[in-house]
Amino acid sequence: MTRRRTWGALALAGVLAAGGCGIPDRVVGLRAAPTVPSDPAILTATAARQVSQRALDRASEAMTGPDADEAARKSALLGPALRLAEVKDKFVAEGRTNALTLPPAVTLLGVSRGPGWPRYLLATAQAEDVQSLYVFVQTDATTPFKLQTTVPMEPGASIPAMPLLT
Amino acid sequence: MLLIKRLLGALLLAAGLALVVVGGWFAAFLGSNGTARFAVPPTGSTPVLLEPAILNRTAHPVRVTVTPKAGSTATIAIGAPSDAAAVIGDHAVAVVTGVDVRAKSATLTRRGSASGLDLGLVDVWRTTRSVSAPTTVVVDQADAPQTMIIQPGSGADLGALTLTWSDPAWFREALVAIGVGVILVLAGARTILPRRRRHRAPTTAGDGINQGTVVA
Repeated sequence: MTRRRTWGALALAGVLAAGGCGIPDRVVGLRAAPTVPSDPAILTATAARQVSQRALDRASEAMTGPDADEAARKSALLGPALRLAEVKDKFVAEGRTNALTLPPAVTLLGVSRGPGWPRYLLATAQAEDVQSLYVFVQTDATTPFKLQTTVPMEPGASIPAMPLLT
Repeated sequence: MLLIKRLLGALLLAAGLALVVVGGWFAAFLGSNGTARFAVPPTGSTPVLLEPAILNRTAHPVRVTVTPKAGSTATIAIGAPSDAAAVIGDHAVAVVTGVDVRAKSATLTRRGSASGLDLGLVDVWRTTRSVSAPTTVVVDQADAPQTMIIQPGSGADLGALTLTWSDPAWFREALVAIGVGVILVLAGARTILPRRRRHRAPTTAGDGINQGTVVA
């Protein structure tokens, strides 16, 4: 009987000594941090909406500001939108009063996916009874999104359905 | 055999005492709601970086409480780890690498050397906010992995920063450790301490049985 108890105590002591390894992680519930999905949406819908609205505000100021303010234009515009802003006699779409009328609200249509740059946002908005598409581009991590293209839509024009944003 | 038995008893006693002490310390530290709170050591004006290895190591949400110094602000930004790394580049940051449970504080390491990081001008964050009063941000695990960076206002130091995890099960586990420890202490003590032997009065065969049966 005594020998059985001794072996039992020995087994218990062994389990305690050996089981100490790794117990804290399991007790606390530690795990490896999850990995990044291969092609995550670059921004959440809420963040993308805020970014596109902010970029459009900056673009509107740059497009309608003084011609001499080149730095402001380059900080807010890119590509065709920048070239349009740099001409003295700016193109004004039919039905509009200036080159870029700031719409009251922007509807986000899509964001690009994946961790790399450049990144794109596609939005639409109605200003002065003209529905337009806006393409915003971010060239690298530390540069804000800039307006690249504005496209007025003809009556009846449509764009393909895009994945739902979350 | 007796020596081995006593040695095992001593081991059980020591293990039991250790469990009681550790379990008691954790029960007192965690409280009945199982809350573990760790203070981040002062980093001056250097931004503090919390990476997925800290924010997303458990299934529980992390509560990050930022207290800017009086009269100053702090910017809190949360984004994808790769985006945060691209923005931070070689800028100087204090990275939280873990927690020192006994000291109830987070451990830090310094990384990068460049200055002039401006989080507000960047369009990669999922959320960003500027705060001027103590603010608690709850980092949920549904959006893991994610990186958080806390930057004090220009020229100011960050007042205080704490990280909090909660799980009532941790308190129950501390109580279980105390209970198991007490059992081990009792078992060890029983094995070590000499048992009291019961002295029985010597009996003589036939005593009392034959009384009165002697035939004269």
